[in-house]
Amino acid sequence: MFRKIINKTINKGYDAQNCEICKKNLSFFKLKRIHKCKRCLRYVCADCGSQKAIIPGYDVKPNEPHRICNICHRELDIQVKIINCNDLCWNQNSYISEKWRNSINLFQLEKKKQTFQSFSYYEYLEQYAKNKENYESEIEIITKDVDLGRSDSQVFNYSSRQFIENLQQGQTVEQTRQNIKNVLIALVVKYPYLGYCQGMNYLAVVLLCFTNEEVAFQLYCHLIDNILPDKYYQKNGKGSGLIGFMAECYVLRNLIPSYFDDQEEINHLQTFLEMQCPNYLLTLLINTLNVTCVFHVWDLMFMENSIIPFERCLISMIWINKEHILDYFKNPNVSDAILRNTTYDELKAKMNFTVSEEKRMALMEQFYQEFSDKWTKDNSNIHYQLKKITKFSIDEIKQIQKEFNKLLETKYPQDQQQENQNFEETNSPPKENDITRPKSESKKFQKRGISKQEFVNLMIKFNQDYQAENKIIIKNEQLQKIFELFIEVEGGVLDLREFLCCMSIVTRGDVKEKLEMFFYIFDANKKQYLSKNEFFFLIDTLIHSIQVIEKNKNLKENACQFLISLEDEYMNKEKISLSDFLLLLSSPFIQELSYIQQVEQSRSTVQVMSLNLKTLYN
Amino acid sequence: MNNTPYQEQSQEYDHLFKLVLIGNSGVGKSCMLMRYAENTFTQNFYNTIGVDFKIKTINLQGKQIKLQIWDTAGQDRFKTITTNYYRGAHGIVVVYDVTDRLSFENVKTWMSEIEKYAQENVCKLLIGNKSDLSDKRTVSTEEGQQLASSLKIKFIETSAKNSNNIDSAFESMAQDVLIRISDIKTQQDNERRRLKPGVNVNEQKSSSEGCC
Repeated sequence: MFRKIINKTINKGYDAQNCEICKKNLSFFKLKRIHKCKRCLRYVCADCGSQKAIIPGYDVKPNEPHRICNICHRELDIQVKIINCNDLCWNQNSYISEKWRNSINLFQLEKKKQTFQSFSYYEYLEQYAKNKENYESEIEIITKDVDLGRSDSQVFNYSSRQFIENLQQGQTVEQTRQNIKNVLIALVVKYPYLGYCQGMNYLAVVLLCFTNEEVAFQLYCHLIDNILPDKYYQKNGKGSGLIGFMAECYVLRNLIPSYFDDQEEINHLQTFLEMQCPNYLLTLLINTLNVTCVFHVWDLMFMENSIIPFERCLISMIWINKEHILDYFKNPNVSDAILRNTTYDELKAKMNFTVSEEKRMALMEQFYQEFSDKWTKDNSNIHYQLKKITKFSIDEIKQIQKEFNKLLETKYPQDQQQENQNFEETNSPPKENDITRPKSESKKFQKRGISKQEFVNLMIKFNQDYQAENKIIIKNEQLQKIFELFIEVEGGVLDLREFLCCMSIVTRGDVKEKLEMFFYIFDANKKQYLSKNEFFFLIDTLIHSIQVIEKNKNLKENACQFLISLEDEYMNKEKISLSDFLLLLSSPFIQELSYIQQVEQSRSTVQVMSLNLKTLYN
Repeated sequence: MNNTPYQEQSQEYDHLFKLVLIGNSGVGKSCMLMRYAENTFTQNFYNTIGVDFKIKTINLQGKQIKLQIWDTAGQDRFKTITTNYYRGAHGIVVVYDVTDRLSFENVKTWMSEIEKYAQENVCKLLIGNKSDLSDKRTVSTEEGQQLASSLKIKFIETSAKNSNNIDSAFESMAQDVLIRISDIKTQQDNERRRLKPGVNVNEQKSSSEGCC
């Protein structure tokens, strides 16, 4: 009998001397009373493993209850309470979603933001149905992630899985997948400049556990607009992929030293966090913690309309699991330990501290300044990245960079010394101990870049010096308007990366890119709609910044025709939305123009390059 | 960057190799790694978000080799995060899915990322995964072979589902890294020996082993 049990435990890799819950000694005399929780796989004594429950995904007798430990029992108990007390059911409204929505309403009243009506979930779905080809590439990934089962309940951890399966009971797989897809599609239509980022699917699943598609969509919009940092899911296009997420990572990393003492420990925890951040932050801990913890944090986030509860939770989680995390590089299975160890009660108790909003903001600003400054560095990696996001050659980039830096040097003379120090650290992402620098704490962080007038001057200079035969015809006033488009806050400045992107599109972009970019920027800066006047001013500027049109008489006539027809079409419309803009892209004139431009471009590239080199060396 | 701050006190191995898996989303990188490190397989897999790693120790030519294998997210927007992990890698495995033409066509893009972000002498391997799905195949073995030889790298087709070639793929990668490392070592040692005769070669070996 003893031998049998010993073999059994040895075969299962059991090496604990004590019950993993009450720490009571399990060895020798009490061998026959060792139990293994079939849910979290802990080894526990008889007292700590007296309960049974059905465990989804357990392959032996799946419909019968199996032994679980007291911690799992307690967790399941809370899960069931959450479900029953709030009337939860897959894709249906509940008390929780009502509560969260009310909190958003209050928030919007306070901030005088638009009300829910403007989210209009079904309109976005309709827009998608009308115009599917515009969203093809995003929808392809969504389809892959949802239809191939990568958002089904089975992919979640044992706790979330049980919760989701419980709620999805009675639904067909096709139906639940369609619900998830709908929410994601509406998001992609609403936020075309964000698109779909893996991890959003998991958030959608959890939201659908609390409410129906429409409200899930609204809650998600609220997350994106008001809770998560700005540009959290940003696309890669302009070299600022996931920038909001990276800013949040930076904040978290630099919050760590305030809560731990030992420097070596801090370094390890920061490195660990750096690696886990994508998973933790982009899924809001859904697959990291058990569902009761996740619910607690999400509830706080929605009720406080802030990401700070999330940050507090992450820091508490690190506290609770410190020993395991410090062991990470020897034992990468730390995620299992974290899931098992972090209980609702302990997390709730530990989260009893605050994170100062001011400190967060200061760190955010510091991040953005470092990010802006990074591009001014004379380094082949930076040049390569800039080349990837613009239509300039490395030589041109170097030249413009030099010129830009000269301008900055005269503009911000006293900072220079310090900035150079910052560069060194920003370039290698996981870096140690920068927040502990007392110098930087006292300093006000500020984005360094060029103002409107400097922008106009640089553009004109560039146009004259480097564009050779491809000079664009663009008025001073138009340049000013373009600057305003690209700027994020009134009175703001453009850093080198933004300037290069802007210049690349204005001087080298093809007509489609121009249209898309201009509008995406507008939208990304939360301007939602363009007035009719702004719209026509933009189109006019665009058309006139395209050099082929000026050269080609036929095209010029077509362009006039096009503008006139547009004016007729939008006669009765006061506001022009992004979808109107996307429709423009498929108009015959734009298509033709785009084609001609591409041909022209490939023909003149060689010529222009040699000319550019000449001007550079003169 | 220093991904591995943990300097092991007791070395239970002769070499530590860092390998990185890259390739489009959904080609089966995580499944391959699960199969290799834990010998398990699931149809439905959680998306890798960011990076993750697993450890496996193998014996090659009488040497204990500890493989630290990094799994990366395939979606384009994670590149800003994942390319950071190329630099410290000894070997990079580019994976495509033989049933997904696009993932094959993207191999070149991935190669140029390696070019830019990894060390110059990094070992490379091209893998066509999901070879068990023969009826859905859109990329033939010959095409894979051709691409690999045009890129001058090794090629192998695998199936994480039925475990075909998984072990041999990682082992051949480890083999390559081992050869490359000992090549560099002998070169360095020779140079050192020329300069300072009498230096303990073994000592040099362990000190230059720091690999990340």
